[in-house]
Order: sequence, then structure tokens, then C-alpha cells
Amino acid sequence: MAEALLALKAYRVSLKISDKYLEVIRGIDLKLAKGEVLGIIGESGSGKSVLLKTMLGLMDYDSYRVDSGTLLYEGESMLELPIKKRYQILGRSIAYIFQNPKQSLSQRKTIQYHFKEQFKVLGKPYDASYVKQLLSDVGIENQTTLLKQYPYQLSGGQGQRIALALALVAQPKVIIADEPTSAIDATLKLKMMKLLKQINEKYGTAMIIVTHDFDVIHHITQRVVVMYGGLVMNEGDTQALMKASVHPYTRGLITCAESLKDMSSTLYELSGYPLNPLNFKEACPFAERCERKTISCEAMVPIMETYRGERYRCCHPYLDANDGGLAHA
Amino acid sequence: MHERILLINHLRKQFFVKPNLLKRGHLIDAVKDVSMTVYRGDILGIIGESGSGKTTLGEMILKLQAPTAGELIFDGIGMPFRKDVQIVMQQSNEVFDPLSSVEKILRTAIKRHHKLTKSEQDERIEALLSSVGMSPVDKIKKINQFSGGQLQRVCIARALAVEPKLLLLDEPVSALDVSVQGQIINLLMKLHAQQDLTYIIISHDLNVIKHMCNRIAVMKDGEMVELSDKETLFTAPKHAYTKQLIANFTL
Ligand SMILES: Nc1ncnc2c1ncn2[C@@H]1O[C@H](COP(=O)(O)OP(=O)(O)OP(=O)(O)O)[C@@H](O)[C@H]1O
Ligand SMILES: Nc1ncnc2c1ncn2[C@@H]1O[C@H](COP(=O)(O)OP(=O)(O)OP(=O)(O)O)[C@@H](O)[C@H]1O
Ligand code: SF4
Ligand SMILES: [Mg+2]
Ligand SMILES: [Mg+2]
Repeated sequence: MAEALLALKAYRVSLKISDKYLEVIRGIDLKLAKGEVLGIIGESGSGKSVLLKTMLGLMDYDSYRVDSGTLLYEGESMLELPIKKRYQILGRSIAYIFQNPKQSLSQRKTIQYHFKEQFKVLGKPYDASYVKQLLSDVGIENQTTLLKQYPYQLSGGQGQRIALALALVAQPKVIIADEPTSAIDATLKLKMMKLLKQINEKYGTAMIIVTHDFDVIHHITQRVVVMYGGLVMNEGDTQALMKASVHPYTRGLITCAESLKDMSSTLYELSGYPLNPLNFKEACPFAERCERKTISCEAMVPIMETYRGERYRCCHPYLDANDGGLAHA
Repeated sequence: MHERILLINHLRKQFFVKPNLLKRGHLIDAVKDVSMTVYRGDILGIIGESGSGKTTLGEMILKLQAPTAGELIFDGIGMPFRKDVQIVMQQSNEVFDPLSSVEKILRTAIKRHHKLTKSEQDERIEALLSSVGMSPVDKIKKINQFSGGQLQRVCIARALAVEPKLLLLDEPVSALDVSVQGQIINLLMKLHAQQDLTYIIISHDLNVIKHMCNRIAVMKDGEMVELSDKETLFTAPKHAYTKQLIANFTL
């Protein structure tokens, strides 16, 4: 693997909820190589957004606590730095697109103001034709009007596209995007995926894309990380994992995604409900919902193991030949 | 079956955008001239380009935006009752006070429309939470403590709390992971089969639309360019935009 641009090790975070700390990120290792596009999928509430926001210093400083871990960016250790300093270094080369981008903009300032700010930070003069180019790259046609609008006046999909265009102004080394395409139609989604791919190929921009959308995972990521209950449960090459992951949770997710595509009258469900951090135990977080569960699954958190290049956290993975492909594949 | 629940008559909405006194203003024709009928029991899908006016149309149905022109007739009466029409929004965290607890939100909704004792309310709150796949222990949490997907479920629970007749769902599952998407869709379909409910669903996800809806409207540039039953729309789309959308979808 190419040299790691970003490396997170044994990262643990607790969030402050009514004056008590609750562990939400429970020991995560994450690596992003130069030029790589990494996907993150997983349960709603599994900690994807908290992971990324705390890593970059983008959450309220007094709303969480980092319990352990190291973060290397280009070989330089980040977590020991004062949070503002860390944000300065990371903010200069990493662009972050929030899950609800409209709210991350200041509501009293026009879109044009936000673009101007980006240029100011870079110490460059405002370049109107470059901004127009970026806007048309993300499929926005009525540009003059849109630049005069305020964030709350944008449609859902316009907000997401503006957020990407804003991120691209600085030509960042890394783009981290939290659900960048959840509010846009199939045609635009294709356009945005092509754009991201193009930027990755042309400038070698590394990316982390958090998404629930398997099309996005398939089309632009090379590697994928699957999260559940504050842990990485599974990780590997995108195509291989999507075809025949050894992990029961990943397989369950894929079956759900397939079921949404076909027209069965009732969609496939994983039994039970997502795990809440209030109920974290020393057990496999997926145990309550897993078909392959045995007693040992409830005795401890499974350790990370490797099989044919795929990393997984599970005591009873699908390893034998009969289990080779997914049932529905 | 073909009882009319909502009639939309030449509805228009213009926005005037003017960042400050010195700059020239711009007029946005968000919804141009939309007419349609929604029948009781319908699951009507609205699809279309980003920025084509879907959310604006929905907000007018809910009286959250005043139309520039045209009229809405609900259940034969000029004004919809807020209780009878509920919404699950595209970005649900914009709706709630970030510091109030889920319990408070659901209790307020329940109290407004039912006379129940405190313990009956508690039961109802817990039942609503588990029906949308959340744990009753979550009720003490504040809105800003939820993940995007969890928040969407709170929003659905609140909408259901008042037992509405018409539920407007604006991208109800796009923020959820695929396993919860399936649960929510199954839940919505089950509720629809059990109760006297009509849905209007705005979504970019044609899988969701295809799975749930019986009729589908297509919007482009503020206009409704097509309204067909599901089979016709997917097998014989009329408008060029719809054709392209269906083609990209089956890719
Ligand atoms: N500001 C906060 N205060 C307290 N708890 C929080 C806060 N933000 C998130 N949480 C909790 O932390 C957990 C992880 O949330 P996070 O937003 O990272 O999930 P996610 O994986 O991004 O989910 P989604 O896919 O729904 O966006 C959830 O249980 C959530 O309720
Ligand atoms: N409050 C507002 N003030 C000014 N313009 C607005 C306002 N709300 C929406 N618009 C504009 O009206 C048009 C229609 O927006 P709307 O939110 O209805 O689109 P949409 O079809 O829901 O799009 P999406 O699929 O991206 O959510 C857009 O061009 C948008 O910028
Ligand atoms: S450890 Fe056990 S419960 Fe967890 S995913 Fe593996 S088989 Fe299932
Ligand atoms: Mg999130
Ligand atoms: Mg919308």
C-alpha cells in the first residue's frame, strides 16, 4: 500500500450527554493512503460523523473527550496539538463537507460571500469565472441568482452541490464528505460521482466518502470500511467486499440494499434495532441481530482478524468454501 | 377509493431574492402552475430535478408557505387542518428546537390532540419510539444528540403521534442506512395498510418510489411535466426528462 496520508490508531471518543461521558467511538484504526478513495458505510448512529468531526476538531470542544488514540497526518502527530492548531493544519489541506451542509454555512451571509471567504483564506483574489466553472461542474445553471441566495433559501440538493463546489475552491489534498449525495437525483448523482472521480484521477486528491448509497460505494471507492456500534467491523477492497464479505453484518446490509432494488412486497429487514451507545457492552455489538450468533459472541468484543486481505471483527465469519458467495448473488 | 382528499388548483410560488438594498433583485419561479388531485388512500410520489420546486410545493400543501397564486382544497374544505396533514421533512433537524428532548416533543404532539393520562402518554411515547426502530431509553436525549438517521425516525414518530390523514414525506429515508431504510418503508407500508392514510412522497430514490407509490408526478423547472400511474411511468415515460431519469436509474 502507498504511504499513509492519514493514519488514525486506537481512537476512542466519549460524548458529553447531560454531564456524563458516554463512549461512542470505541477504538478505531483508519488509514487513508495518498490518492485513495475510501468509503465508510454503516448503521445510522454508529459514529461515522462523530469520528470524522472530532478527528478534524470540528465539534464543540466541550461536548466530547478523546480518551485515547493517535492521529498522524503526513507523518506528523496531530492529537497532542492544541485543537486550534490542529484545525489550522488540517483545515488547510482537508476539505470537510458536513452531513447537513446548509446548516454549516452562516445563514446571514449569501452564497457569494461564502465563496469570497474561501478565496480570502487562500490569500487569493476572488475569481468569478472559476466560481462559475465550479458551479456548472456541480450542475448549477442559474448561477447569478444562486450566488445571491442565502443558505436557507437553497433546496436540499442545491445545498449539497454548493458545499462540494465550496470545498473544491481550495483544491484540497483530501476531501472528506459526509453523505454528499443523499438529496440529489440519479442524473445529478452520476454527474457528481464523475466529478469526484475526475478530481481524484487528475489531482490525486484522496477522499473519504461516508454514504448509505451503495451505488456511490461501487462507483468511486477503492476500499470500504463498515462501522457498527462505534467499531470498525469489516474492511477491505470494495469490489471483493461487496461480492463476498466474510462478515455477517456486511452481508446483511448488502441483502437489504438488494432487496430495495427488487420489487418484493416486503423489504428484507435485519431483525431487531440498531445498538444505542447507552447499551454498549463487552460483546459483539451486532450480536442481538446476528443469525450466526453463538454464546462466545456475547462474551467479548471480537478482535480484528485478516483473511485474504479482508479485515473483519467476528467470531464466526463466512470462511469456508460453501459460504463463498452471497446467498443472493 | 376515488374519493378526493386534496385538490391543487393552478398553484404558483415565486420567491424574490435580493441580498441587500443596493443589489438588483431576482425572481425565482419555484412552482409555476401546478394542478393535481390526490385521492384518499393514494401513495403519490413526486420526483424531479433538484431545485424543481418539490419541497416548495409540499410546503404550500402544509401551509408553511403562502402560494403566490392558486388554491388548495383539502377534504372539500378550503384550509387544511394542521393536525390532519403532517410532514416528515428533508432536513428534520431544522424543525425542532435542538435542546428539547424527544420525550418533550412527542408529549407535546400527543397532548395537543388526545386527552390521555400521564402514564398513557408515556406508553404511547414508548410505542411510537419502538415503532420507528428506536429504543425507549432514547427519549431523554436532546435533538442535537442524535445522528442524522435517528433524527429522521424521531420526525416520523412525531408525525404519527397525531394520527394524521395525509402524511407528506420529503426524502423520508435518504439519510438512513439501508437496513433502517427497509424497516421504515415496511413500517410506512404497514401503517398505510392498517390506517386511513394518504401519503405524498418526495424522493430522488426511484427504488423507494417504485416500491411504495401507486401514482407518480414528475417536476422540472417548477412545472409538473407528467403525472401517471406507476406502471405507465416506468414502462412508457412521456417527457424527455422522465425518460432520461428512468434510463439513468436502470443503469
Ligand atoms: N452532539 C452530540 N451529543 C450527544 N450525542 C451525540 C451527539 N452527536 C451524536 N451523538 C450520538 O453519537 C452516536 C453516533 O452519532 P453519529 O452522528 O456519529 O452517527 P452516524 O454514524 O453519523 O449516523 P448517521 O448515518 O445517521 O448520520 C449516536 O448514538 C448519536 O446519538
Ligand atoms: N425561501 C426561499 N427563498 C428563495 N428561493 C427559494 C426559497 N426556497 C426555495 N427557493 C428556490 O426555489 C427553487 C425550488 O426549491 P425547492 O426546495 O422547492 O426544490 P426541490 O425540488 O425540493 O429540490 P431538491 O430536490 O434539491 O430538494 C430553488 O431554485 C430554490 O433555490
Ligand atoms: S461475532 Fe458473532 S454476533 Fe458478531 S457478527 Fe460475528 S457471528 Fe455475528
Ligand atoms: Mg452521520
Ligand atoms: Mg427538496
